[in-house]
Amino acid sequence: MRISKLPLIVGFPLVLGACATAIPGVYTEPKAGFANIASQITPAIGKRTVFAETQAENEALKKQVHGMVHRKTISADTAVQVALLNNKGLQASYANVGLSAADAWQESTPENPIVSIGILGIGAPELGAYRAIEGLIRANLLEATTRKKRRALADTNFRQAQLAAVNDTLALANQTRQAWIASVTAFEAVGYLKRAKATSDAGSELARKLGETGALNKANQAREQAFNAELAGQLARARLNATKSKEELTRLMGLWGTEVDYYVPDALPKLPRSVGSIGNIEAKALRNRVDLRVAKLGLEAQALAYGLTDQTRIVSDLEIVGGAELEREVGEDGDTEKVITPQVELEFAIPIFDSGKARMRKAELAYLQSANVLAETAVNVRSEARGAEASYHASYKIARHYQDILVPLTRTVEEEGLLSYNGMITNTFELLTDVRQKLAASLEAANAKSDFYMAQADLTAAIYGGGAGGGGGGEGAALAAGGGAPH
Amino acid sequence: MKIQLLLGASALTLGACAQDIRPIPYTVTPLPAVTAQQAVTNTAVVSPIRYQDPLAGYTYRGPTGPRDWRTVNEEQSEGN
Repeated sequence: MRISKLPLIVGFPLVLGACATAIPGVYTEPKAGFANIASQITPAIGKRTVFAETQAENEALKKQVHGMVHRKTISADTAVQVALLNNKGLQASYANVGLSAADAWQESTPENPIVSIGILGIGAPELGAYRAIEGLIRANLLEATTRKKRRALADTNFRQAQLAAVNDTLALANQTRQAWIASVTAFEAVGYLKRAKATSDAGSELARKLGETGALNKANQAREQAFNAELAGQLARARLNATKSKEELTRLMGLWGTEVDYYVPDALPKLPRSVGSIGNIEAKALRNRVDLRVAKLGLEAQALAYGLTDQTRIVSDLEIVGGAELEREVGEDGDTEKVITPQVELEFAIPIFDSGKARMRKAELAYLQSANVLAETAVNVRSEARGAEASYHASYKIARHYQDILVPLTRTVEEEGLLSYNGMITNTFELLTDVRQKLAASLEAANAKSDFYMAQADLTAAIYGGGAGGGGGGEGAALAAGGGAPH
Repeated sequence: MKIQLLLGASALTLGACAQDIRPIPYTVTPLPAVTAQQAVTNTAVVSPIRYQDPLAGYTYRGPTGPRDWRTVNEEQSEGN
């Protein structure tokens, strides 16, 4: 009778401990969660992203990137695409999603039961080998009863990790686009300064020649030479700035070795004819901002963690142990008798000293903290959206002002100055000064144009995320490669 | 007494040698290949970027006093 009950007793903890449910494939597939990330990137910035896990995938990517950049003049879109394919920091961020999926997988997997087998009374004088054998199976009941909640929490963390990876992708795209704009602007500035330097060189040479004839005193000569030297210094700094900003772009694109042999255009594209108004940008940002969705999931995760803490507050440990003991006894007639005794034990911690109040306080404050982070993020999202819209429209107007008003005025000054010079009314130095003034105005116009394209990139970041304030993107900045000599 | 001593000693020995004991259904799981990630640390690969003097093209010209007018004239003549 006792023996027939044995399988039931041994199996009881196993059944209780398992209650296993199927593990969703979304946690176990090799690129867990990545399809969701990729599907959110394309609508936001129109670019493709990959998660290269194998050697073959890495090799294919390397070839693809080489074909896109090696000895080519790259546009902003190409730069962003290369960064999304080749930046290893982004790959590390995608691996983080995999880690989170593995955590969810682990939480979905029932804890293994623990088996213990003991031999008691070894070498007992009257029995020989042993007196009793004890076999027990231990299962964690609390683990089984809280698994559903822990799975829900792990799933929320997994979704949060996916959105964080989307945000990282958008941030990288935005940084790369801005680095491309900065790099092209720097080379454009070098171009203008080179032309200004050419006029300054001519003035400097003329001053020297006039000095040799005695027609220009040393003070006026020195004034021209000092200006020329100052301009040479400005040009040198602009060249260094161009080199550094291109290096920043190279870094974001993850390029090294022969791949660094690429060029950027030496001028930004022309300003668009007009910029459209954006209706209700705050609502758009609140709907689309990835960092806000991350904060919402953070609050959801804390709510689940709060519930889990509450459930395990009193009983923090509950285990069931089942098994049997085979005992040998020497009977009155001298024969050895075997007796099998089933065994069931329940183990739990008595909440005398720790009733879980500290854990509950911690969970409560963590929830409040998440709620405040969410509110702060939402306030920032609204403010950034308004600021980005104002900056977008204002920087366009400013760039237009420089391009349509200041540059034509200085061009007129230069043209009229040339006529006066030809009529021998003004001297060469005045003509050169006019030319330099026009170049300075053109340089200012180029900087204003750069500000506009930066603001355009910031606008996309303010709507989708990935900007300096927490999100970033770059859909609106549809920059084509500008003309001119490559660098 | 001897058995008890033997059992105690065997428990100690097992504990000490635990680092060499592997579970029975054990197969080595290979590490993912990271050659592509490690290639960038190869010191033999040098990027084809050379330092360029940012002040290249600048010529220093200082203020000068009047030179001999004949020499200056000769320098400006058609023959030169």
